[in-house]
Amino acid sequence: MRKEINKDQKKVKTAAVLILSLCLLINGGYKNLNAAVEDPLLEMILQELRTYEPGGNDDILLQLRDYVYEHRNDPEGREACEKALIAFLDSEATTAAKMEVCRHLRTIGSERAVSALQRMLLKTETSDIARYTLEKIPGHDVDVILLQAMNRSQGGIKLGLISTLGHRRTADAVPALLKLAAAPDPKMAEAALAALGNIASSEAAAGLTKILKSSQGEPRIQTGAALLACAETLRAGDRNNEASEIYAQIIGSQVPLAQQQAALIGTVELAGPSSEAVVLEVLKGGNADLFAVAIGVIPDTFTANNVSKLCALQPQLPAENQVQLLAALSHYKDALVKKTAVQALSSQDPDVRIAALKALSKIGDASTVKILVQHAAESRGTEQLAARSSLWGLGAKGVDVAVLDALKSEGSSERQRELLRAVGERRILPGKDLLFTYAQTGDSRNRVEAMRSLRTVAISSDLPRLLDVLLATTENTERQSMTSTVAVVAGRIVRPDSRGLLVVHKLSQTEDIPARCDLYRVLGKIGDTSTLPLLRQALANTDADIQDAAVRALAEWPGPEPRTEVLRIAQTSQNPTHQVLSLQAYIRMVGLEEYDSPEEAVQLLQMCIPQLKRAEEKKALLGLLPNYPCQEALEMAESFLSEEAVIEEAEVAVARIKDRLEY
Amino acid sequence: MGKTPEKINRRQFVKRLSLAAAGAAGFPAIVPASVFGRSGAPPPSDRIVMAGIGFGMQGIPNMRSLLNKDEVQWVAVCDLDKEHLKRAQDIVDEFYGNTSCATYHDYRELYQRGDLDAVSIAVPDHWHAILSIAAVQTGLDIFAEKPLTHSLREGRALCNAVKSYGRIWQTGSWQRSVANFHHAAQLVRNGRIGKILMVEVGLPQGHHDFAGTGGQETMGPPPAHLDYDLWLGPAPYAPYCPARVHMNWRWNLDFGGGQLMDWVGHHVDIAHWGLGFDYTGPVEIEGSGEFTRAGVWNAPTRYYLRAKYADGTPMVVAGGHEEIRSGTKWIGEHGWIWCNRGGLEAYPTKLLDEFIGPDEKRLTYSRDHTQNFLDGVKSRRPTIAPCEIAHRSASVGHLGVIAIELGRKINFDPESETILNDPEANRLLARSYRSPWQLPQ
Repeated sequence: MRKEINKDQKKVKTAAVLILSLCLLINGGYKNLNAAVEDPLLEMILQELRTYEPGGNDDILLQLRDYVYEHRNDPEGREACEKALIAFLDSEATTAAKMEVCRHLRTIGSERAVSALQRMLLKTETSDIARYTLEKIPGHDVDVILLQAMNRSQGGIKLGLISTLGHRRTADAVPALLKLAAAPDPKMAEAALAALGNIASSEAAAGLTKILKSSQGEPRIQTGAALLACAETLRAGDRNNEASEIYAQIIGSQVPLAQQQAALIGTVELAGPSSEAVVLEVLKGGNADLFAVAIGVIPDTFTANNVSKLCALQPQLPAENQVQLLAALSHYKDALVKKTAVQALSSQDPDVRIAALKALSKIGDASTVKILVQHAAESRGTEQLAARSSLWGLGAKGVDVAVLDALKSEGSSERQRELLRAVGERRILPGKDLLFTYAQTGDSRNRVEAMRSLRTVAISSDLPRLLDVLLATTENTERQSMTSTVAVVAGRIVRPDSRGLLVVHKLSQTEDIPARCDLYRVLGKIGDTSTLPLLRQALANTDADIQDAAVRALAEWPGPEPRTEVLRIAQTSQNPTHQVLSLQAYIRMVGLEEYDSPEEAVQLLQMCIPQLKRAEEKKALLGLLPNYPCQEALEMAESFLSEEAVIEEAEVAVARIKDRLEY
Repeated sequence: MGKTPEKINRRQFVKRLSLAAAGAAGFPAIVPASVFGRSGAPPPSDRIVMAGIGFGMQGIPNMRSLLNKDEVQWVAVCDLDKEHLKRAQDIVDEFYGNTSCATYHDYRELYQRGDLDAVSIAVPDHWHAILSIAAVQTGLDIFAEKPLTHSLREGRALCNAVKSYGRIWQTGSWQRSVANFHHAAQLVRNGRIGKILMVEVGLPQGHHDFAGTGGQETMGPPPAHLDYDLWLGPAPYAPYCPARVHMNWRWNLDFGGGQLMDWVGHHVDIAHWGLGFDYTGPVEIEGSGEFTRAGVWNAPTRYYLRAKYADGTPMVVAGGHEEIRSGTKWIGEHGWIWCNRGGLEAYPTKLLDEFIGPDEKRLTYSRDHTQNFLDGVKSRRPTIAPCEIAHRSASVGHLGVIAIELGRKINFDPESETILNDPEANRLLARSYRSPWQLPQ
């Protein structure tokens, strides 16, 4: 059910129309617009519509639309409505008004409307709008009228009618259009050629083929495009032989490359068993543009049975073409294709190597793992990314086992690191023990990589083990990494108020100050609100390191719960680092909450203004303000317009707030 | 840091190379290695020569994104508004540090250059089909904005043309190249929430005054810098007023399709991706819309569509209905997954930790939408958002607009793309063009 302006408004409008009608009748000033209008309401609407101009009383358009919609599903009402609208077209109404009426006749108009529309067809100001409607009304009679009008018209009107005949695929228009296609007026010829392409009858195709042979320059290009359109339509009607003939004509003609390419695609698609030979001929031919087209049709032409011919061609091609062929080959899971891609990894051209890596991600298997690991370890930049992506996305069975086997036997530290990363990216769960081993032994960078991968592989029952690793770790970067790992895994515990339990338990067993600091930091990253009292206690601890860890934990808290504490720290701490961390956290936390009104959020932000010293925090605040569009936010943003360090951010914030306020 | 454009373009270079290689076996030996890109930046032969059409809104960010790619060489800009044209030209010239960027008022002149590989199109919806099909027939690859076209029939014609001419197409449905959408769709496609019971797609409501011209509806002569007649192009004639044109054209149904058509190419696109409906459409659709006013901005401000697909999957697409959360939400028998820009949620939450195993369906992977297009141009393989997929996403909007206009349920055959047993509805699948414009088939 369609909803419009609310019903009360509608009733008021209807009543107003009726009252107006009554007044006009009483005053004797009301004269029927047309005897065809049976309903006074519609008559009133049409009366008012008669003088409509764009930018005037647009409300009348809604009234007309409502009326038509209400009556169109009732046969009698619809017929009466259509008759009234048709009669309106013969009135002295403005063109804009007739246009609006034609919009409705476009859907409800029948053969009844044809005569009135026909009278509009040859007038400059109404021809287009009559066409819009006639185009939609089915029937041979309409075709005849349009064709007659086209023959009698000139200039823009004729061009429009040609377009409509093409759109309706009026076969009877072909002889006239073929004459126009040869006319000296280039615009008329172009329109006629396009229409013939749309009609796409055998007669049109034959005529266009003749024109192709005799034309030059732009007309030939237009004819080629029309013929290709014909071929597509003929194919849709299973007339493939006629389409093939057209393609052959195009390929053999001096037409633009794009048309030859299209004809080649069509030829291959229709060639059946011989399409393979056609494609191979093009691929070997050395024409770069046709080569690209042939690449596009490879999946439709080659199967696993004949793909070896493409593999043989691969190394003989220029680098650019090798890239394209490797992409096409990557759709064939075939041993020879895989071998071809592996060989391409030795290419001197980086684009070819990258294409080969991408192909291997689709066609590689367990035996490809070591090759990809080697590439990931030894290359840099885009090539390294391609190698890693392929390794992580390699989809064949046995790949995970191959990764773990390689990790057990690999001697090179760089390759070990790539394998450790792959265990995490592929989430190889049986690799967990190996990750724990690597997280505690050997190369520091590998330890960090193993810790990162544990974030995806470890589960909550591994937390005690993860905590042990954390507390045994002494190097700073590794501790930071392990802290994050513990927090990520703890975050998987379903109940939010249980996520910090194990860490709290560990704290109760740990006396060592650095270890306790790490555990506080972990609590901050986890964000379990049941552990907040513990952190508040730690803030009051006499040990500076514990205090520092508590401040940092609160500043890293993922939710807004410790907002009051961090503001207090920002306001009272003597430690400049703590001031900055807490201030940043406060602004972030204000942004995390939901408020009943934007003013509430701005009020909270106002509380930290005295502490704002550095441009970084001011920018963070300005970035947040547009989320709370209100006068107070605008004033706050404007107060920063005089500060050179943040003037750009202030201007953006002011503009966004204004925008949202106006909207 | 800019790049130095070269006079020679990729096509010319490749052709010369082919000719030279054919005529002189020793040719490669006398070419310095740097020409082939060993020094870092791609050589001219590898660059994709591009131009852009339409710089009133999305054309600028699209162009910047492409300009920043080493393999792109931007040579020209085209806009029928001289102010937009100058702004776009300045950006290109500043980027390259020269004054070489050519300008065009009319796309037909641009297409006749003969040296372009690809074109970026960001123009009002009513121009999408004509400009794009003309580009396809010129042999260009295309990066273009959504919705694909202004009517369903235009969409079919464009898809046919792209296929027939073998062109590479990327739609600006960039959410496909963002991690959370990809992850969400992949989880749904692999059955993590079981059989899909309902899909909810929440889109924006209202009319957003992008250009600050809201209410400026006094008809008058267009400004001298704008070729208004060409801007109108195939759309029905309407006199000029500021509220009708730049950026805000989308709120008038002769030029755009309101919020519904503006966003259907994003969130419905993602919904289709997850469902595996990239190459089909709904079999029935009904809906309602609210129109707060007539006049220049006449697109529905609130709307609610209810669609059903051939396998029975229902989908709601709504704007301005609080119960339908903004973004895409698939609801299945084992839970739900919701995603939006910057958001990814699920119930049960552990669903989001699920990995896709080696034997499961992996959706096309891209983390850089423009790079994905350029890779497609080079490899001649389809992009992540090709024409047909964009057409199917847009078709939900086109059919929805028709259902709203008719006020009744319509039954659709996604194969033949016709509305069943409803000739009146079928009339609305195509738009008529103002003389002398004609849609190339």
